[in-house]
Amino acid sequence: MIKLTEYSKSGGCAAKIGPGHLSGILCSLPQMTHPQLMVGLDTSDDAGVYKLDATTALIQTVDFFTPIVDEPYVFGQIAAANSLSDIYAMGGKPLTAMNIVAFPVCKLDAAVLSDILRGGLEKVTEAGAVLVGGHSIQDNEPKYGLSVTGVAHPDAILTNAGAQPGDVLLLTKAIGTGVLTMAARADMFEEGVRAAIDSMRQLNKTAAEVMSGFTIHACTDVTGFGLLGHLSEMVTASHVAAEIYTKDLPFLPEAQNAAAMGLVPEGAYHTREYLKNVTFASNVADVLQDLCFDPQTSGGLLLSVAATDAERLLASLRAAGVDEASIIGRITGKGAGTIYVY
Amino acid sequence: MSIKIDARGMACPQPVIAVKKALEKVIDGVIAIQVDNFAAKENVLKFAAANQCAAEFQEQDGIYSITIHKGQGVEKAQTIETVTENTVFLITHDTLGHGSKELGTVLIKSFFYALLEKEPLPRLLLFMNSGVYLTSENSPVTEHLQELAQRGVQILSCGTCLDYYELKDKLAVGGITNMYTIVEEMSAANKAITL
Amino acid sequence: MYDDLNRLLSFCSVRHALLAEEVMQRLGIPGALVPTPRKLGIHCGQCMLFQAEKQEQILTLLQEKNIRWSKLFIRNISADTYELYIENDD
Repeated sequence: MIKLTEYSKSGGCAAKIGPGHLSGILCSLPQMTHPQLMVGLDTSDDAGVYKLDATTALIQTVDFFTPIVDEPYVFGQIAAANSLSDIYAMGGKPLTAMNIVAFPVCKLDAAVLSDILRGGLEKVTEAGAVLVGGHSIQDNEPKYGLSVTGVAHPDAILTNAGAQPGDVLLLTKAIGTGVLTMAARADMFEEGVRAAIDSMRQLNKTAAEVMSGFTIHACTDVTGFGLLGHLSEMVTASHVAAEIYTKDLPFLPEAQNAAAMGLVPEGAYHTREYLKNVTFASNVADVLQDLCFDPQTSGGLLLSVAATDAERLLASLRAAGVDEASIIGRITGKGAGTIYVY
Repeated sequence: MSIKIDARGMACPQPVIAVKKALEKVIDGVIAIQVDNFAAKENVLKFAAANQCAAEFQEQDGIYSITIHKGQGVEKAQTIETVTENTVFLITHDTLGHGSKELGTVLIKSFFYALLEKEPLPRLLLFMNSGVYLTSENSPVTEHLQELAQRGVQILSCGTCLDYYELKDKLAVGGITNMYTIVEEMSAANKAITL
Repeated sequence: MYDDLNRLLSFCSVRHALLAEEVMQRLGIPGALVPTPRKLGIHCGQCMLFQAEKQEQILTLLQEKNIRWSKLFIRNISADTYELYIENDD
């Protein structure tokens, strides 16, 4: 049986270029401004948004990575779900998608690639979008993902820059896919790995549909920079400060055990080193701290909503089957992106 | 028995997997492993601790050499090091000051809360007469006294007083002492303060 | 101490602080009355420590009972600092 993970050094969103390196590179590019550009590079958001006319904004995103699981079909599902997530995080609906493929045709059978693509197609169809093409290259390490185009009404676009003091923070999926994909490579914590796989291949579609009935101040999806990395982007862009309560965070089964066993991805250490604005209370265990930086693949949506809407939104998400949805913290006031973790 | 592993160039979680396999082979012995990145070093140390193995490391030129000992447990040091000075407090009431009892209770709570911030802490707290209500169950300052005790402050209550107020089996913090010890301790102190 | 209590409320007078302690105890809301931290003032006074999640419940309760609080601070336990969050204008 094929073990895809043997063909790549690091998997999933843990393979992302670290935030420190990335911001250094992006800073050196000339600033782009355009009258139709609603969301660009400056707020480190999930996708780009371009206003076509008064009622339509175009959302564009791209995402691809190396295998995090061994089964090709499952890898395809996860990678596609991950790519589609950015459209939901912007408040949009996916329309079209294109495959991005890198594959070692000499080392692996074509049937393996076929399975990966079938997994991806299943998720594109589930999202109600259409696969319109793709591009593939020969590469020693297999990689897969999608470029996705979505749409939304310009007024319905959600960015990560609108969080307000007094808001409550919600997370729609449990954390721990980074440590559990490492556990999968070590053949440990089977139950946790199965739960992580199910969580990763789940689309954020249902959560997005429930959210559309509420006023969401800010939204982002939690992926390669971990909960604190993406929260940091949100609070910095929104010029606020936030608190997170570790006792309220949803963790995948066995994620804490995996973290305690030293199955923490390198990405978590990089993000921890890069973020200078995070303070932990003295009684937050190392394991919980590691999980707060754990790079997620196809993670949940992190939302900032008015306190008066929080309980209702939570109840609606849970009623719609988003079982892991939880209130995890709040925006405490204006600030320069500081985060306190209790 | 000792096993040497060269895990340089290995991507996570390979170093941890290698240590796992080695620990399965060793009952009592040492595993020496080399890794070339911070994440691998941290992960190996965490794995060792999770498996009750003591471990230490050295770093040179970006290479971490970690030594793991199996067969000896990790000692978890529970004692919190604090410096105490030779000051003794004698607490003779369960409230502070004269006048309102309600205010007196607020003040005694505030006193012990503020005492926790003092450096160095007093060596010993002696409780007498109605002061023994403070070291007994349902005291407003149990948590404060427990914290002080954890930081190395000795807490003693007069046995006669506990007996008189029928609190002998309700003592919640510290030990029981007698008048001879109380006199000795107060005389031997650099500073003896009575509340 | 009190590592899980990350909000601090100061009052117009000690009497109000004691009333607040009484009503919170009656309703079983966790909290602790402590002397005003040195960083916030030199006059002796009493402040109430409580958990952030109980904030709305407590402020509503105090308003109902006419217990006059003056300032709400966010407590950063590890750095031992207090940040002014809300001032009561009533």
